[in-house]
Amino acid sequence: MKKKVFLLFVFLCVALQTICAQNFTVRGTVISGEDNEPLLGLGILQEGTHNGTSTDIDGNYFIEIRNTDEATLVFSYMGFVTQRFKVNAATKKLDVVMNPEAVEVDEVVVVAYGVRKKGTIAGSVSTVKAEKIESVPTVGFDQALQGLTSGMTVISNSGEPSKPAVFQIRGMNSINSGTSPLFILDGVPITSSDFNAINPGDIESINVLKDASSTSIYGARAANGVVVITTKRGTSTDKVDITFRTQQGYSELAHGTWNLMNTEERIRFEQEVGFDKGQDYDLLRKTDVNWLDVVFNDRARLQSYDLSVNYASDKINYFVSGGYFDQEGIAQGSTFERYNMRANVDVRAADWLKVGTNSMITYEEVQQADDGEYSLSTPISACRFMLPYWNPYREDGSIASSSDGSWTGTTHNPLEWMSNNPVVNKKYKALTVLYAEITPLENLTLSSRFGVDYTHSTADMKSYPSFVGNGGIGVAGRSSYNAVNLTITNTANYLWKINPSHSLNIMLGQEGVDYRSEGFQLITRGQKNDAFTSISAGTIPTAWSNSHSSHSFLSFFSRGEYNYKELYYADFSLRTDASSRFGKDGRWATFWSMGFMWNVRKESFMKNTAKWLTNAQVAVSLGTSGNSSIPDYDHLALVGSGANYMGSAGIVPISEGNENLGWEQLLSGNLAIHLGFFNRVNLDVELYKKITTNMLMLVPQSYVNNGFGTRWDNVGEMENSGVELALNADVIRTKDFVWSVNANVSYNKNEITELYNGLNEYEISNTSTKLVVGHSVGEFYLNRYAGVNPANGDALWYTKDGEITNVYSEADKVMIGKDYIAPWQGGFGTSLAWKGFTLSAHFSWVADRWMFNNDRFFEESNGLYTAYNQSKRLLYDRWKQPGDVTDIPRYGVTPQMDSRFLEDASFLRLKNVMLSYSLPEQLLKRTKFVSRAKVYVQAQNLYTWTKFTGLDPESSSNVYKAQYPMSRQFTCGLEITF
Amino acid sequence: MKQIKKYILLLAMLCCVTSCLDKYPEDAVLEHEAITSVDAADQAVIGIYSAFLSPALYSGYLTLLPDIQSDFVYAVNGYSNVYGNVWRWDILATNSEIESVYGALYDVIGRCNFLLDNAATLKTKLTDDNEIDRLDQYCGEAYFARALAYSELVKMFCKSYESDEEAKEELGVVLTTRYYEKPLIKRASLYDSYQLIIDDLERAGELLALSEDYDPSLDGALYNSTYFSEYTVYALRARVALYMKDYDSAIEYSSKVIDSDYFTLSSAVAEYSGGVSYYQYMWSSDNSTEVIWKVGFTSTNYGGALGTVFFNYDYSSFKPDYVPAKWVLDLYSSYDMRYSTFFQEYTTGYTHGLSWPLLIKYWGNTDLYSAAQLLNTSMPKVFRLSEQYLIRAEAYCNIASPNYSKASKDISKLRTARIYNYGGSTAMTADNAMDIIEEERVKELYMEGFRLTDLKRWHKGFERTPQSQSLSNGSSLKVEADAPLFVWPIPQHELESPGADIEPNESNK
Repeated sequence: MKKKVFLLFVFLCVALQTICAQNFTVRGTVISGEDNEPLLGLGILQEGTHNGTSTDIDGNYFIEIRNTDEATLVFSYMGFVTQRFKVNAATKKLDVVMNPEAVEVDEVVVVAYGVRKKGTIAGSVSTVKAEKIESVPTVGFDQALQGLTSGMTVISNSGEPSKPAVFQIRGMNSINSGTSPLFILDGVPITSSDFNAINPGDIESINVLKDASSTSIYGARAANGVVVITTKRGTSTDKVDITFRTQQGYSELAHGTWNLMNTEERIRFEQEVGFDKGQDYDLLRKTDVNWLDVVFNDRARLQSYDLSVNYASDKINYFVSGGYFDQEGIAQGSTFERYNMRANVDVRAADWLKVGTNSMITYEEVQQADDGEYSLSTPISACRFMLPYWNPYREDGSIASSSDGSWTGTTHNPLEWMSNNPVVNKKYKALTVLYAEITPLENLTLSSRFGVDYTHSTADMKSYPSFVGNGGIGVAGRSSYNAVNLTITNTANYLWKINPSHSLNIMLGQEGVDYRSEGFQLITRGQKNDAFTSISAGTIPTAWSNSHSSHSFLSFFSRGEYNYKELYYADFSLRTDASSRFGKDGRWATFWSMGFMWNVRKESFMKNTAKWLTNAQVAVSLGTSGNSSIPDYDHLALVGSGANYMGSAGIVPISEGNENLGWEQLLSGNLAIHLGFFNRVNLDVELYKKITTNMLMLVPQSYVNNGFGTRWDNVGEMENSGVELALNADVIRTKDFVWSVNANVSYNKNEITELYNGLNEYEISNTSTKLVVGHSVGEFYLNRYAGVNPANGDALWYTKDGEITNVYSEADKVMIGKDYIAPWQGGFGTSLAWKGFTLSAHFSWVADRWMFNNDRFFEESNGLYTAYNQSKRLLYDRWKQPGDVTDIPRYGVTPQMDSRFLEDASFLRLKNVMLSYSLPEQLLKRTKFVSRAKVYVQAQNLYTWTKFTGLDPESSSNVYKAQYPMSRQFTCGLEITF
Repeated sequence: MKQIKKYILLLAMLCCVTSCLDKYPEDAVLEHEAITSVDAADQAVIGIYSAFLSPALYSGYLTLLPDIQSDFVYAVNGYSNVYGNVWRWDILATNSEIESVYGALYDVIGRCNFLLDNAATLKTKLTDDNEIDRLDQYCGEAYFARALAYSELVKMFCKSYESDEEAKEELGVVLTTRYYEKPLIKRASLYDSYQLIIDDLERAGELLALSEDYDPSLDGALYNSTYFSEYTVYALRARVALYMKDYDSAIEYSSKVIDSDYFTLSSAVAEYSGGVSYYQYMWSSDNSTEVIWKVGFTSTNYGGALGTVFFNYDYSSFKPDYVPAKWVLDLYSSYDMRYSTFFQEYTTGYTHGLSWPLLIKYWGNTDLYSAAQLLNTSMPKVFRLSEQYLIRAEAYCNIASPNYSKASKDISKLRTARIYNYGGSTAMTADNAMDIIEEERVKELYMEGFRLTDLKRWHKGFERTPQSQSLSNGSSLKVEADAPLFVWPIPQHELESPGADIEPNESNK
């Protein structure tokens, strides 16, 4: 019976509707208020339904509305203010003028476990958007970030395409424990070695979280700041967007100061110092080789192709991409090739359920040139040792060999060595995040996110038996390494709008990370034939090893955010973390933070400033975070294997352990002021202070402790304080012409405030640095070179007390006040846009950074390494006769590792210049299928200003040693959207 | 609501799964679980032996540096500056090679203490006499290894031992005999340091004593061994006694080795096979009846390459960093077969084309080369019978009432094995005895790491004069007797270590 009544009711309703409601149509034209031109492809939607249309090439639209008397049409178009109009049967025609949006669109910033509208958070977060990253002519996005955001130093230690840059946020917080920020890719922690696996074109934004309020919720490992990388999602609502990008270009040396002798100079030098016995100079004069040109390629090819498809609807949105990237390094034996695919999908499965995935898969083939160590065989190092009269090539252009005497130099021709000892690395990476979001009650969101990060990498190493340097015997090595990192994050979020004035957002969460890796390596030798150089072709194994590692983290966290009338904001967080890297006693630690923000601009008393002051915010935050970046098992006292003797397997203590080891803690405070003027100029000023306590350090201890010369311990304190300024302004902004400028400057001061066991100083052997309380962690400790005695050519130094001596003594070393960690860094840029043309330039710089140029110790060896090529300075500038005033002593007075080799490694680099042209959309409309097209040319690392005399000043190291220098890229690119 | 309950349950479950916070490596065990059986103790002893494979010890720095620092070799123009600071006497407390010698010796000591501490615990649980005997044997090896490591420490980092009274006032080394106790990091007296070595050797001698019915033909020969035995204990005891100027003990213990007849000198005159003498065979194959203990290498498990710096062979040419001093080459008589065993003239690959006798003594073990292409790799022969003869001869010359005829007999015995048609007697008197012994030690033990210590304990200096293509910076060095650098500086790392109360040496300044 009940059923019948219900059916009747339904029937009546339907009937009633058909009688009362009617269908009607609305048509009209939509133009832009800026230039009165029609807008193509503008979306019109009947609010609350899926009924919608879009404008044609002349801005015309037509929409039919069914079964209702009245409806609301929503007109939306990117870059314009969305408008709503009520329409009914009488409306018939509705012409709309769309007004461009103010520049301050509702940008979002990423915070831990969520996103927030820009300007509504108390924390310190900088955002870098896709357009700065997607066309960078390098393997990874990391290169593009140098000098872009205040407070973050991005430095490449190598020009090797596959190697990642080193990141540091707001100074160095720890002496030995990790100083790299925590990198989060779509909610999953990754390491910098993964950068080369991520296609920069897939990245939507990079957010840099700097202060306690924004990082503390990441608790574990957040002490060095957090870099959150978010990949693109489907955004194209009107149609499926297909974008194709390609880039073609080449690389060459970016800077490349070279000061070694040519043949004529070398011969003169040999004659002067009596190194000419047995030399046939008439013959040698015929050869003059610049080894820099031999080893470094000035036309190293670069190409990339990238295809992506994206679409968004209210049920599903997706972003699917595939790419290929291929770059030759500028050094011999350095290549990078990558294939990558990505699928990001979000599905609204039900009103209360959203599920999705971010998945990527990458395959890479990499060859890396050896650098950083001195060797006569590996080209980067050897190029500075080889003499100019040694020709690496035969007359026919083939590589000269020591087997037939066509190579006349020392040991082996580095080029021959390299081509006979290849190493190929392969990396396979799959990173998948699956998530589900449930909304069981209004305002309550439960979300669960599970990430799997799997890496398999292999190395295949060969030495060909035919190469004379291998003595007729080949060597083959294989290594295999697997790592899997599982991450699970569960959060519950409740948004509580108490009344229009008060709103509260509460989150509770839990996170677990479980990491395991294993690998092995096997090397065999005895191969006799170049064609058979696998490990199985060998006759004897010469080395074998395996490795295992694992660690886990478990965390619980909560956060509360409150705002009153969007005027006062406050947030609080509390998190507790456990790490398997510590013993039971020190395993758990609790971190907290609080942040407050006052949106001064919105105060009623500020009303009359509205015209010129468009933004004014003051924010403060205070909180703690932790660091556990130490080896996985060092808290355990362990006995290991491998101590074999005469074919018997032995065991041996391998670590002493320290069960008291616990988290390194960082307390940081931040004060930020954000100002906006005339809607055109934005100024951000931030001040911070950070105190590291319980610092994890590899403390040197006497070898008397069972032969263990170091041990991990929680010791000491360190402080970092600094100030950051960021300014961006649209100087001119008209419809056709926009000129904007931006600049940022950061200053950080580092100071060790306590070391260990009451010790106030410790010299770190072979680094020329010393840890001293009251000084920066990177300060050099050296003998001060005082030049040369003009009377006899002796080297002179200052004693500790400043007197001049000709005796080099350890006791005369002093803290020199110069640092290898740059206190100053920043960047600035400008962009000019006129019609479809855009010209942009970006500079980055670091200042007051010093580096020990170890290469010069060899080049100016003054008798230690005379058999190898030497600096021109040794020929022209060395002391030769009484009265000579110079800084190089007489020949034979060999150098010491003193301050003469300490150089100013500050630099200013024109990081990127790009000229692009976007084809007019009017023109493209005629093609019917191309909706956007852009062509560009760009140069990366175009020019470098520096006083440093090595090949390149960019490095984060204290010492400059046979380093792979940075490269300069020239590329042209094309970007088409269908 | 059901949803939420399910969700909470799931969450709790996930927490459990991920709460595995106790992570252990797969290829290591916790320290206190390692030695639970005599077999495990055996493996820990193997671990001690393997510590001697370190290239910082006998197969590298500990053997080469003291002789490079002395007057034995010259750096060649164009050399790679390897060990250049040591050769030029430009040795700083931050020298990384010296630091690694120091560290490697304490590593040996740590491994010994680890075994000894654990063996003491293990022994209380053992009931089987055979097991106890085996464990005693292992402890004996550990005591010996510890004594050997301490003897090298006092040799390199302390002044020479003049008398018990003086030694009580002199600085020794930091002594540690316990693995699980944090040591007091303070240098003991030189006397106490030597006393520990003697005590350890006493214990080792008892524990390693051969059974009374030991018969080499049945139980295996003692010579050419890669493991420690009762006789390695006596060999070290004799060496230590000589360095302590305790000549009676030196005679006593060297006699035990010599008179045992378990070892015989390898003749440089008699042919082993194919024109190769027994003595040459000892250097080219590391096998000999006069070896008391050598560090054993296999083709897959080996230490450093002693010969590299004397050849730097790249399969096409030689570019030696160091070549023998002319005065050493001139010392050998034309009938001395050691010369052709140790030296062979080659033209180097340098542009100056120096032709010079290179040290083929360290050309390397030919078996290791053919098996695994290990170039210039020899097993360090840490104790040889010839050294025992030299110890005894020197002791006879220095005892309260010198016995030159017995000294002469020992020297003659050695020379007969080395020199073609040696007459059979050596005239030794108070005037020439020490010169003969010094000369013989140079000729016999060349580049085996004895020279610097010998000069130190004899209070002699030396002078280098340039020779053909020798590096000018260092070729005209004059070193006075008792110069501070005869005693290596205590590594800076040790002086600055927290909790360390270590007095520096004069050479630290």
